[in-house]
Amino acid sequence: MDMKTPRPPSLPSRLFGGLRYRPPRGVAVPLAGAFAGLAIALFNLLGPGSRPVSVVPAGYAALVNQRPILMSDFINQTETIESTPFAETTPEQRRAVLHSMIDEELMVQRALVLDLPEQDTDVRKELVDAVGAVILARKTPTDADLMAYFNAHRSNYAGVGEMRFHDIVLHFGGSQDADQSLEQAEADAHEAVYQLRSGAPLESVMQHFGFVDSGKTDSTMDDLDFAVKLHLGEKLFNVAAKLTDGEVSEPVDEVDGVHVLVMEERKPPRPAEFAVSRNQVYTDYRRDQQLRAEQDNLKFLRANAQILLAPGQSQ
Amino acid sequence: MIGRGYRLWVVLGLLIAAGGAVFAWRQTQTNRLETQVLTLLPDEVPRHADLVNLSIAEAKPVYAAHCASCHGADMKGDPRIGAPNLTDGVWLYGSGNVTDIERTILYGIRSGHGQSHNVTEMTAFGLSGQLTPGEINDVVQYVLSLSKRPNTAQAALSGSQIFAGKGNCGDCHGPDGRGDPYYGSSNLTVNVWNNGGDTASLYRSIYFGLQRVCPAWYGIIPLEKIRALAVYLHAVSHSEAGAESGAASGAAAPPAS
Repeated sequence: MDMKTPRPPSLPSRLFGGLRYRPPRGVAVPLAGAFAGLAIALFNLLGPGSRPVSVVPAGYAALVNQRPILMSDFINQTETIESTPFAETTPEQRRAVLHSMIDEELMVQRALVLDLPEQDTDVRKELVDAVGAVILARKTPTDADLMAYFNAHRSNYAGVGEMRFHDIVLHFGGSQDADQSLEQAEADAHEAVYQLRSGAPLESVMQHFGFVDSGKTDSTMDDLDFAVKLHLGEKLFNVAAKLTDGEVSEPVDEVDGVHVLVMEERKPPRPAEFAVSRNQVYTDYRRDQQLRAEQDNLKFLRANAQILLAPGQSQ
Repeated sequence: MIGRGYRLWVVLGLLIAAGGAVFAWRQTQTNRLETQVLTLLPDEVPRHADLVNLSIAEAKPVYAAHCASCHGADMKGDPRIGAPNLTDGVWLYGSGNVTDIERTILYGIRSGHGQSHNVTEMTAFGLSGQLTPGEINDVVQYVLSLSKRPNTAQAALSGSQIFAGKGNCGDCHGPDGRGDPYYGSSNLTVNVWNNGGDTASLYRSIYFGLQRVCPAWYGIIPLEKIRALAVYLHAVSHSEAGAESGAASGAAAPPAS
């Protein structure tokens, strides 16, 4: 007869040895797993993570609806308001500051409940500006960067010209009670220009041909170029800008009559100079740098956002 | 009768239980100290040697992971990127107490966080054309004189007038050049330079301006580690060993009060 060494009892047998009911070996392991799962579920259900924190954790001064107020912020705020080291402030002072911070937190939370970022245009604008400030580009430009920028925007840095001139007009076709035709007015204007260029006094020429001052500018004062452009319009300004001191323009047809410009004094715009405009170039460069950074940020956000447009809305 | 195999299991179990108990006890002690480091007011922590030692042990790996890349493993900073030396006891923002250091770690400098240090930045005086190269050279000579180093007297005199007048340098650095911890403007009289103190570096700083950035670590590093880091930096910058050789020699904890 073959003598065999008896096998030691198995783990389920040892675990459940004292029990009257012994589960089959195949059931023991799943049963242990089920118990473990149940324990984990109970821990999560009843453990500390499942309920609101009722004690303020170390490092924080308060919890407002579970939102913490950092002790460092509280100290800083107290020292700023009281202008005293925190250790030297009184309990009353600390209490007042802490409660003002709690009030602020409550108001911010209320603002979120009211969905102000969605509802209030001012809040939305502030948020947009704040994001812009956060992504402000900080790369310092070099001299070469500024020079390249200047060359690309040279017209922005030219000085503003000035001029003092007469703008006289010969009305026609019923305008301002004038009964002459356009052709007649043009012929008279050409004759007047000829006489003025020959040295005839302005007043006598105006009187002889029936010219009047257009009233659009003051001929006794210097006017900046952009102001002249605004008052006369593009067409007349372009003619005036090319005149030199004492020069008389060719007749210019406009809707209100035939104009003649007599330039008293012309100070042309100063050409752009990098050395003179450097400060402005730097400021403009930084502004554009920020705009570029914002555009890049928006591009990135759009690329990572889900934006759905209603039918009929263009992409 | 209990077999040998069972005795072995029992002994093994007891050993494991004892080891676990010791580990749990030590964890509890450490947690208690960690909690204490956070519970005390920041400036009270350096008075407790055990808390300082614990903070240093906790902070060293944090420093290595988050700070050393700019400030260097030896904490001596890097003038090429304007990272300050953290061992010299000279602080731009605040007075160098734990509260001030912690605040800088929490919110950073020009980090984009609303509470970061960001009142002003050093203007690019040359780049913007506010000062000519000659004027900047004069201001450099004046700054050399403020830190009691060899300079050209005539240029320094002219530089002092530009410093107080056209350059408006005194608005941030103070009329006597001693800086202002609110603005984070450096004290020009102590001969400590984050961006290099030689003539060329000073010229470069004034010409191109300075807009150095330190990240905000709040929300990235746990609060207790930030506090530990602040205590560590405070200890390093206030210990003679730290002031002389930085973290390499280790910061000595002050005697317990």
